[in-house]
Amino acid sequence: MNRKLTCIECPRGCLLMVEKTEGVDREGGELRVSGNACPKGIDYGRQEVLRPMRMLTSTVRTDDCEFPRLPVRLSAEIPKERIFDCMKEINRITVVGRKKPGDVLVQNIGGLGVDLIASGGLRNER
Amino acid sequence: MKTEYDVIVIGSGPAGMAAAVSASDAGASVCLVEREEKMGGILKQCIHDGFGLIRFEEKLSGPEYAWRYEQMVDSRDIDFLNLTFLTGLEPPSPPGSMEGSAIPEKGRWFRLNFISSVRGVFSLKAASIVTAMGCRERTDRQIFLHGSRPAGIFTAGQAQDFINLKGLMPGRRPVILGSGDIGLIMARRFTLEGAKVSGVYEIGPRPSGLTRNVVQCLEDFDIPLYLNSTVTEVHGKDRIEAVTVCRLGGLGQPDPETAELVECDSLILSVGLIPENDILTPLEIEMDPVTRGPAVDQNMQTSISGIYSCGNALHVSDLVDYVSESGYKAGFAAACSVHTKYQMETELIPIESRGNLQYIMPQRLSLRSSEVLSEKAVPVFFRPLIPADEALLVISSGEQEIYRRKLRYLKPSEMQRVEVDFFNSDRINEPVIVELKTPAAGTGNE
Repeated sequence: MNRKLTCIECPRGCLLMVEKTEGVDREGGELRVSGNACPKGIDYGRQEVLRPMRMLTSTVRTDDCEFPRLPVRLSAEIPKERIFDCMKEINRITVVGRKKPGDVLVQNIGGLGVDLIASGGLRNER
Repeated sequence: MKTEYDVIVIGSGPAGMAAAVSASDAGASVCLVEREEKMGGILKQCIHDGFGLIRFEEKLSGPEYAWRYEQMVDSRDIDFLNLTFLTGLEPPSPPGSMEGSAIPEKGRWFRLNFISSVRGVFSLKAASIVTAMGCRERTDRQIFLHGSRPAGIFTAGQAQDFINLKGLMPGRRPVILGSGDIGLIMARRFTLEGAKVSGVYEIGPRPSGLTRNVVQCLEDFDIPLYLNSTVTEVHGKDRIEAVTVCRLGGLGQPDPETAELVECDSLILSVGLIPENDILTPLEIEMDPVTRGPAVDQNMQTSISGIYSCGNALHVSDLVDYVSESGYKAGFAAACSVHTKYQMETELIPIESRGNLQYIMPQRLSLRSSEVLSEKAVPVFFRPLIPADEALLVISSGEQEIYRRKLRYLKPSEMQRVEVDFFNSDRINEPVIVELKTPAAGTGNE
């Protein structure tokens, strides 16, 4: 199995080729990365093939008619393939009351081991 | 409420908030004016993360970055006027033509006229002004787009406002024209909310947004990016139903042979940003024709003493950290100028660009101010004209070489910042020449 991807560790944007040798344990690391100009490319290429992780940011509904959405984020990155599951959970929520960035809205969202936190404020009187 | 301030800051986005904070810390009385309800500017709707890596050494979302600055503004003695729109800006009357008691010993006053839903029409006086109005998006009126104008055509920032602030979807099957960063980010945002983006069409040979965004916003979600392609016609009566897309032919014109109909229910435009400096037009401030912001010295002072410019109104930045940095500089210098009047005695040396440079900022060097503000290195910003794997940046004045540095992997879409110590060497007397030398043909990395 071969995969081509663009490294985003720096502005150079190396075009990486990640080759997996057959019959070798998945985590064992027989992944050959080429096209990289520096060692960061190797780590990035391996991570992207083995277990790509992403931050997810979105918004949730509020009970405030003037500011009907509150921006939210996760407390840590999640596996890329779980993004849409997580979006489903996020779109079920309505927040009420005063919120500030960092407030935990949902603990262990979708059983992913990360929390959903507010990334903006709501009803913070000056 | 006061009617006279040392410094009035126009706009409370990242640049304006930073300017207000630094002017206040430098001892000035400060008023921060905002036309919207809340501080934060465009950051309020930029819910994605990646902000503040330089300034806070953390990956923050836009609202989180704005929140930190809002706290800084709130904890200082800064008057914040929201829902207030600047309608006119009058420079000080020439010395001698006294206008009643309004000329104090402190200096000459700018008069700013405002309108607000709360206070009606009113004016304030300021010794210095920091303009931080940001930028606005180019719209469908500013690009060549044939056909009708049904509902469903939005700029990317408008779509972002609808989805992220209002919770409304502008479309379910959008076509995105232009690969600027907001366009790429909106392609992902539409997709996350269940829409199907049929493609991103970019007229140029390379994406105009950051590589990181091409990868994480398009490739992650298998959204196709069509380079050298553009939308030529809009179809639909009441609501947009389809667009015609074409590849560019040999002469850089859309080739009708390649025309293809793409069905969609919305067209999202990410086709460039224009610094919003209209309020300065009557003052005939010297503008840089490339950045479309004022030409400034290293303290962000424009060609009119006492008016400073920062943030995206000065030049459109990729990183909010740079926007805040220019705000800090402008606010600090504006506050200092009230007391030291350095601007009266300043000697300006032009900074000119040569070689493969789109532009250079600052556009001039102020020699006297460097002594008053006791600064060391000057951040110099530029964008290359073409991609280059290797380039040499040389800054000189007459026979004197001031700076030389090899740079790698330059792209027109990524702004460069270098720090240059102009005041360590001999006194600069001749224009400063900034030259970017690239090998015969920069291949980039496409």
